[in-house]
Amino acid sequence: MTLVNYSTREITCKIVYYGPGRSGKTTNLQYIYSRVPWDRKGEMVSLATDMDRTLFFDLLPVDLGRISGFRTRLQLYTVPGQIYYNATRKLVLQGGDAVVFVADSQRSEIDENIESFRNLQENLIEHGIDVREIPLVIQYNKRDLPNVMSIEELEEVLNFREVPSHPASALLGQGVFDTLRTVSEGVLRRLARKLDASMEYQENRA
Amino acid sequence: MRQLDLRRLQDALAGHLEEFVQESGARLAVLINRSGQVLAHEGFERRLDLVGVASLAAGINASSRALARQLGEDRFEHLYHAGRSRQLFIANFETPAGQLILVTVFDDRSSIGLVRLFFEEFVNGVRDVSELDGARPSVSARDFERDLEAGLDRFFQDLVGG
Repeated sequence: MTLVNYSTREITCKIVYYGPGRSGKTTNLQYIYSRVPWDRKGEMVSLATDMDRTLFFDLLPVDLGRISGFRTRLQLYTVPGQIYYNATRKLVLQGGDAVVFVADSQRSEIDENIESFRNLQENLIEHGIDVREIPLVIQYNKRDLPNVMSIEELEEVLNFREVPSHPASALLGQGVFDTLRTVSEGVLRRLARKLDASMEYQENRA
Repeated sequence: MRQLDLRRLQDALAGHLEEFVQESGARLAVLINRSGQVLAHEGFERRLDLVGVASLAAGINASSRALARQLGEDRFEHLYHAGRSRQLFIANFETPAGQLILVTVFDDRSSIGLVRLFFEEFVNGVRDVSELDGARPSVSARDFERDLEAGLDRFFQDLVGG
């Protein structure tokens, strides 16, 4: 849930980077961490195995600054991508306000992408989240590698909901902030709509 | 138009937390929701990463709850870790606003018995905060949406394309 503190005028949103193992979720956060000025970010927390694979989650707090007087903060989380970590993946997804699905563009990884995307939908449903409602952005990562599928092919297989998508090479930083901007806008616009509904609710009670 | 006093809600949570820390002799405490978002905190020093502590505690709470279910329990009421000089107490409780989690750090000024005792009082106090039942905003959604684009531009203009 998006946390809105009206007295201190603060908004906190949780964005979850989802996707198959080694698709570049942690790399996205590491790049963001490396570029955002120190006064606009918190410490990056990583719970990883000895092999540098995400065990539970990574967390990066980012401060977007003030929007309409509200200090707006994002908490960026990654989930472990490997199939057998589904229990922890579900826990991290809990309370998520938006999802970035990081797909691996390599042709050899298409089955893993489809499986992970299906798993995302199942886990959202299990949390009672409407998959058509939650802001979702797809990132087609690793565009710099050979043997990648075309964006059109990937869109056809993964993006049947026609959500916003971006090509990216997270290791080089390409597309990382485009993705973050799109998902931030999605989650904050949704919040604005909720505020609207909430105000109408109050007016109707008056 | 009915306006709930949201300032009072924040003050009430902060007030109960301050009282809990004083009475129990704890060093610090943070009240979070299940997602790890901070609702109130008391005693945190600058060098401590509040958001990191909150997210890790939410992770511990979530995994222990899942583990409890695997073992046929509905939930574990609290978790306790003892270090050489500091001890950690993580406990969850239900409110009309959903499950909340209190993370408490204490040392030999206090004891697990004291912390548990005053935790019960804290929970009763928080449950009595009537605003938890239906906090409603008092902000112009239209203004917010209008300023959104410019706000995001300010943040991203130096970063995109890097």
